[in-house]
Amino acid sequence: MISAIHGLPMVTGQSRVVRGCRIEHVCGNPELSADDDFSYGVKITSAALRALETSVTEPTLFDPDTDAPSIKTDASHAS
Amino acid sequence: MQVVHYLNQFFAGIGGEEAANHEISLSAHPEGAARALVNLMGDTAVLKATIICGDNTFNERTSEVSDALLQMLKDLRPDVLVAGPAFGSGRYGLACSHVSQVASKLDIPTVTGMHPENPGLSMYRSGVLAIRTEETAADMTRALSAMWKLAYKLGTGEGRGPAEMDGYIPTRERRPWLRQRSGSQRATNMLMAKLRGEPFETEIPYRTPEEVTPAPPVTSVASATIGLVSSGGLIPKGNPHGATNGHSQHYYRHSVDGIDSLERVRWEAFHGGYFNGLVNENPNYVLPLAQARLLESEGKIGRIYDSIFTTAGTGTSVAQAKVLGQGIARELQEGEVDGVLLVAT
Repeated sequence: MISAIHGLPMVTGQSRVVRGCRIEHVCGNPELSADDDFSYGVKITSAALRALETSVTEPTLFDPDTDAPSIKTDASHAS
Repeated sequence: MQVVHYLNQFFAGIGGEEAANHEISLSAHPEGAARALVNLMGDTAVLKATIICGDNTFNERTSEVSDALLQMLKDLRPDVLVAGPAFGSGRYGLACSHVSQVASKLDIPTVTGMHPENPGLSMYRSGVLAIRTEETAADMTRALSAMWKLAYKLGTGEGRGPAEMDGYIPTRERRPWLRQRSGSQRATNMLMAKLRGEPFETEIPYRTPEEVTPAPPVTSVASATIGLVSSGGLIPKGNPHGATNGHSQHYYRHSVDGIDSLERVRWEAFHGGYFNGLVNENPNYVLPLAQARLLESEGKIGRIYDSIFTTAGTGTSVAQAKVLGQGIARELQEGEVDGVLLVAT
């Protein structure tokens, strides 16, 4: 799931959560140039694909801005 | 006291799915499950009528059926209406909740019975008084008995007690009652029980989200079929299918076969939970088709599934969202989709 409010899917038990940009533009950022906006969306989508290929056992956050395989967040701290 | 019992085609003994289009009808006699209700009533009340309607009829022609029902209830004027129980049945549950709403227009109190996750309950929670039941009719005897006890209290004007005591699913209106011990004592007792590892019962139940076991990973996205789904209210421009901008009853399947990008002249957002202006400029923000097409052309995605699925998630109850999600999942499974990207706003 790609979501800009990633805390919510994390606490409700979504397995693979990808950090989107903002609620009003989850898969991109209109403040960037058209090219950069599109590239950012590709990066978010790529992170989601990476999430699909990753084995998880609990709600796990995937951040498009890092290449680390995944970030595990203690769900009880998310809001 | 005069009572009317509302039943669907099945519990009235007319038939199963083949009879789900049964028109709304009225019998002056106790039909089907109403006979069990009459037994419970004994000589404390009289059953004036059984009202029967097919589940499909009620849900497909709700407004027309409601008008007919309102007229029947105007003529009958019962002291109390009993509807169901509907257990876990969605259409029946929706009908029972709706019956309750119609009766409330005439100030006729209604008691129904449902499983807490019945979508009928989620949709009309505040106004519906439903005894908590199991998912199936195996719970009929107990459920109907609890429903009658509460119906009797409403019919005599005594009114309902707290949910915990009368066995109904809590409404938004809480009824206070005097417990034997103070809050501090009860809280301390609960804490002590917890520390000792003993069972205890909270007074404010928290509905925990359903636990879903994570799906195994996709072995290689580069050779997989990937589906795209959005709950961000993506619709074809002009809303040709009449989608709602929340409280969704439907999801929509759209073909994207041969489409490289969601163009703003052909797509837009209709979602009551966020400002739609930016998505209207670039619909790919809420379903990244253009971005995924690039990755597909680079060989990083095997194939993008030729249909997308959309709905507006806002205001949609968990129970209803589950129904929609199951429908989408079934179609994706039939399309042999290996993995799915879901954008949630």
